[in-house]
Amino acid sequence: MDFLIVSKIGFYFSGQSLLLDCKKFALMKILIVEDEAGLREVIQESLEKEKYIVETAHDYISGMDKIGSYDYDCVLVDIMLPGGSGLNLVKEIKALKKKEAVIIISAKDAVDDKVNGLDLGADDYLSKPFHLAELHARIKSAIRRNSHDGENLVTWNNLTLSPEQRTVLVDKEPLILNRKEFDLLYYFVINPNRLINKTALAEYVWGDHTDQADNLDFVYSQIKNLRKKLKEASADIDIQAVYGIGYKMT
Amino acid sequence: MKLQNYTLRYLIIAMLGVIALWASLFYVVILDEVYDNVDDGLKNSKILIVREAYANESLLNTPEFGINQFKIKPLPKGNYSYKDEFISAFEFMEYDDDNEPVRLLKAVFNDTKGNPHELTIRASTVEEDELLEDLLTALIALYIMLVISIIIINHIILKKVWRSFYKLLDRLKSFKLGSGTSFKSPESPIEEFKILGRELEEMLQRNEAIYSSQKQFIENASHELQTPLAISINKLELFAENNILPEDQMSEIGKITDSLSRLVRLNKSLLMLSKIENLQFSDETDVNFNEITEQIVDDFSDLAEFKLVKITVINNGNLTYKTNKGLASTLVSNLLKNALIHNRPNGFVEISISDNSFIIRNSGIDYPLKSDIFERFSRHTLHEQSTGLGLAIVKSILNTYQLPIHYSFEESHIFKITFLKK
Repeated sequence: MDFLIVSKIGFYFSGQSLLLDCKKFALMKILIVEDEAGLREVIQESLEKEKYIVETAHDYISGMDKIGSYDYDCVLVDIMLPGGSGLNLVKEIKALKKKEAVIIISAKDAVDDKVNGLDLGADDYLSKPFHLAELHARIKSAIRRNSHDGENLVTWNNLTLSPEQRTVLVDKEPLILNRKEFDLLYYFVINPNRLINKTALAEYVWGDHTDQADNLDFVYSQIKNLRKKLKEASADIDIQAVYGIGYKMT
Repeated sequence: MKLQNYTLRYLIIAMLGVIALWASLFYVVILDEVYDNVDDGLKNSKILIVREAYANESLLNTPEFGINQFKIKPLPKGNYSYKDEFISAFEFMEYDDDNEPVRLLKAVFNDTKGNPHELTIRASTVEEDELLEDLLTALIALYIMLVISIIIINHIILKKVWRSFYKLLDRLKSFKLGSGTSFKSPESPIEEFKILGRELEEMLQRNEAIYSSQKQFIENASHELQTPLAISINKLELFAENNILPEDQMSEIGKITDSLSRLVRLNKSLLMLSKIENLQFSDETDVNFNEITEQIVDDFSDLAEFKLVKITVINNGNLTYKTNKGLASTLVSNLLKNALIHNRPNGFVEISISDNSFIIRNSGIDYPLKSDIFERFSRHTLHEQSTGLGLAIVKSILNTYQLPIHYSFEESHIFKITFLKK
């Protein structure tokens, strides 16, 4: 892991959180093993925008090659790859006793694959298609869980979230949120400065079966409540609505 | 009706016919033989009596039977047929104090002087009614014995003969396509069953191959569809993030993303349906519906609160059923979601669970829904985001387990699932 601090980070992180975050923020290396060029490119572009160092592999052989030769913080593996199964790559990573967080991205969404993948030691399983914000959230969580710092808090300005205990502190004062409000806030905080699609938000707080328009209205009302509570607690956070698309937290 | 009893039934009926036919033939033959025998004896007596009458004229004076079994009656001179005539008749017998059947022989003969005499000889004969009675008793005994022995033999032999067949049936019953186990037919010494077993084995192997290739196709189709969808959605997301477009165009991109998201949901729901229909959720455990309902109601409590709908759960019993846990959750959450979505503000959802039923009732529109609510893509509201597949999935899950669901309207909408014992 290279402990480089890139000046541009300041561009994305503002105010007093800058120092705090930069200390923890090292350039993370991510390997994408995905045969579909279009998807590989879009994931790479999106991750690079978040200042990750991204490498890619387009098939089983080259994936195996990279895993054997370099260290990464996180590896994204597709299951159906030319030349072999992505599950074997997961096996290989664990066999080499490497520290990478592994996230399986698969279009199969088969329960067996999910169970097998997690049994083999993968940290997470994301079925295609996914929203980029969701991918970022998963990567961050996986890396955080995988690092042995013991520090599992997520901070943003004067906000501190504990994902395990599901508590929020504003300037060390606890802020009481209901479950869905916490989920939303957490999602915003680990996706700072990103435009988050409203469907992605709905899916995050609702799980897979978000097939009703009502849920979007519901998310809207939850965000309204959340904003109100944050404002009352004078949290230094701004959730903006982007018309027609979703929300952005700055 | 079991094969064994089926053949037995026809055998017993057929045997009744055969025995009845045989009995009547036997009766006729025996009777014929008895008369024949008696008649022969009478003919012999006639020769002896006539010979005696020639030798001893006093014999001609026997007008009544008396202690002799014959009588002789003088006839006026004339032309007579000298043929023997046999008659069956009844005569009173002291011993029996009843009329008993007798066989009579009437014949005309000339004495030494040439005078004609009519000789009647009688012989006690078989009592037809008693013969018939005895025969019937014997036959009934025979029939019962035959039936009992046939039942026993049938039971033993058929059981032995069909043993391999029943084994085949048992294996067939427990065989489930796509469970990963291959079908093995049992050994049988009988050629027909060997062929049946072999053909079944081959047929199921072919089915298994078709099944797995179909399963493969579904998964591949999903892969092929999801990837371009993923790319389109993610590219649009990136595009929007770059923040280079004016607001109205951003909003257009939002609409495209929404449509694509809907396509993704449709695709996922359709895949879910195909998977359920292809029995790909074969992993079954005892699922407690009270527990999963509690959990799902909890998950939906925020949405219910938002929609001002009150959810109550009434546990009248403990409902445990062997199903796939994921499918059970999908079942309950789709039903609950349906009840919430089509509700009205200040409405209610009431779930009552008993030992063998799951009933969910909800307020909503105040007229009953059409009967096609379980069809795919049937929509009764204007929710454009609805896939119209939620209840189709419910129905399809229930079909997998052969459980009935019944919809009725009694001021509220009621869905009732009855869990039949397996």
